[in-house]
Amino acid sequence: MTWTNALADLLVATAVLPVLLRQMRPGVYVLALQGLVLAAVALGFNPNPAGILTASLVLLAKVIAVPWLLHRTATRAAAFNLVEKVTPFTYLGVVAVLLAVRLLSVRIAPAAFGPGAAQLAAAALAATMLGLLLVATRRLLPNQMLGLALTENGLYAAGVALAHSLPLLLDLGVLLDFLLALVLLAWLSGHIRNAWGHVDADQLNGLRG
Amino acid sequence: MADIWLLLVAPWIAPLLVAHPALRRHAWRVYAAVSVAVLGLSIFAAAFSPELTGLGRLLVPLVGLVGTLTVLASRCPLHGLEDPRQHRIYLLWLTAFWWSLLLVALSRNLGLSWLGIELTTITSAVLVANSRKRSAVEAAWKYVMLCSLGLLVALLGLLLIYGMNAHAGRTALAVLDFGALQAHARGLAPATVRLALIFLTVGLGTKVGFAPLHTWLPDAHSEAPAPVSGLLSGVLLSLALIVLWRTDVALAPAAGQGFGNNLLLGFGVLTTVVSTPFLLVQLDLKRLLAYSSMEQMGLIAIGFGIGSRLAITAALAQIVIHALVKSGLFYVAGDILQAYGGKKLPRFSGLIASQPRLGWLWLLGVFTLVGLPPLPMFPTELAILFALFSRSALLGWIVLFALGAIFVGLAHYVVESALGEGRPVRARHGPGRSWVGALLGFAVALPLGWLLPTALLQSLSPFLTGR
Repeated sequence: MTWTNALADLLVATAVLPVLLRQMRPGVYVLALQGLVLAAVALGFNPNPAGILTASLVLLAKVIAVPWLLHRTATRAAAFNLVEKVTPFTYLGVVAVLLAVRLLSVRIAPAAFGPGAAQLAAAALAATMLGLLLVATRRLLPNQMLGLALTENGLYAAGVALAHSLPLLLDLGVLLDFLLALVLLAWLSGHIRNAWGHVDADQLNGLRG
Repeated sequence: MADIWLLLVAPWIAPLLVAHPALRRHAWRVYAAVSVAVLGLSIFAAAFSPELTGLGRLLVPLVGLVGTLTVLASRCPLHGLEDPRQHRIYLLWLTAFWWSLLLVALSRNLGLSWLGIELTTITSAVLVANSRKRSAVEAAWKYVMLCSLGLLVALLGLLLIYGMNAHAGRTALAVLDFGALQAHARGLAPATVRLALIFLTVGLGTKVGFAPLHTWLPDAHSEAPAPVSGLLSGVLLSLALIVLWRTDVALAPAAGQGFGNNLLLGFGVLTTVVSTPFLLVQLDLKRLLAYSSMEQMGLIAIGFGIGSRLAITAALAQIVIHALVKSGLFYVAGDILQAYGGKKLPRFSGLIASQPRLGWLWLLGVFTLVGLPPLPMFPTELAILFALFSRSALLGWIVLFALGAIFVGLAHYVVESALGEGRPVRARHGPGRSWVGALLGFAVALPLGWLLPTALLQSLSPFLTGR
């Protein structure tokens, strides 16, 4: 299924880019692009009315709502003007994730989920791990939120790849919980900016021991 | 089924009533009255509802009781909630948090449990940040970020399990019922199930406070209003651990009997050991209680990890006693902080002389936690230790050494703070009345702690089969 492989490659590319970019603004745009890929994944695996509904929700949440929220949070925190270092550790992490996931897509996933879904499942796992890597390696709070969003996008793709569609209650529940968590983080980021005058996670060290 | 729906709707009656201008001034009384009604409903559901079986019969009344005590202890919480509007908002979020805990306790489905646990993160984080102080906002950020990441990792495990079932043609939400998971587990690929279990253990373990994923725990517990810390520590951690244990047991036919148990055992021992030095050097009252919760979760995980009838019974009894005693200790801590205006232990040396009620409750609660005989955690901790020694003498000695150090260290702290020679500090403000919640909790926990293990042992089979 070549379209699945193409979507899988796009998913990995849109997950790798934000990790390697030094500024946040293009990362948010890439995240919106990844949302489009996910909507295509949802529709491609479920070409029926339920799939259209799911893809519409994905478009609304992952192409519009989440990028808008991140853009707003970063603008208010003046995080778009800041440049973050991309360390050798980050490059190493990206390479390690891609190699591990390649291995997974060849050795484990086809046996468990069939060859059709294996490529996308592996790409989804890559996106998830790269999101975690972004959170671990970035200092700015809005950038960490971006990492969280990438992680969730990867998991959404994993859900579609592994099960084609999740039960509606679970699908909506996960999406809603995640959106609420992001809104809460945006609100907390605003309070941190007001109290500290910055949004640098490395300087949040008031609680120790 | 109607009683379950009623139980889920009832907590929200209080905010609706308080929206009426005539009742707004009596917000806490309305919330307290409704919470008592919810407690009654939870006990009724546990006793008579056919929908509630197995562990639900234990967990739902426990969440109902600790939630009610927390509302009762929230009459005048700390952190500048003197403003009635702020207090009403606090009570509203407390209700949301309690409701999400009830959802987890009622659930027999891994997917719904996951949703409920994620919801508890959001609702309780708002309460952690309640004071808007720098430290509170920082703690809330770390809490939401770490636990959300952890739960996303757990979601990956859940998706792997669901995906394998979907691949075998089973696609409804009911596939994730713990009973259904167990029934179909043998048909799943063992390597993938083990991978999923690792993701679930790491993910849910973040919420439980397993070392080294625990860094959010002391921060959030120390910054939340004291009654909320009680609910966080007493109920939330245990519920996350129980969801993890249920999943381990359900997937054991695929992963192998020992795999999930060994993960729990390993994390349990590590958590108990890692929490020990932090407990011994801790001078911050609420952080001390938070690290004690970590130690307790480690012990309970050891009990579940060993997996024998005796160990599971002790772990379940430990969950109940810990919920009631630890939440009570946090209520007392709230009153102490209000009276002395500082978090550090040396500030309130000689507590019994200056605040006898708080002093005696503090003394009793901490001695219960460290397992002083004949208090009710003594037999449960002893049973877990016996079971651990029968599994591995080396691990047994390591945990025994950690528990011994904690016993000596905490006993020293509590004797010094309650009975010390230090000159009692004069209260800056009068203490609150949260101690009433502690008194009620201890009154239930102390006799129950001795009766419960016997009752659990007699009825363990239905508990295990009806989960």
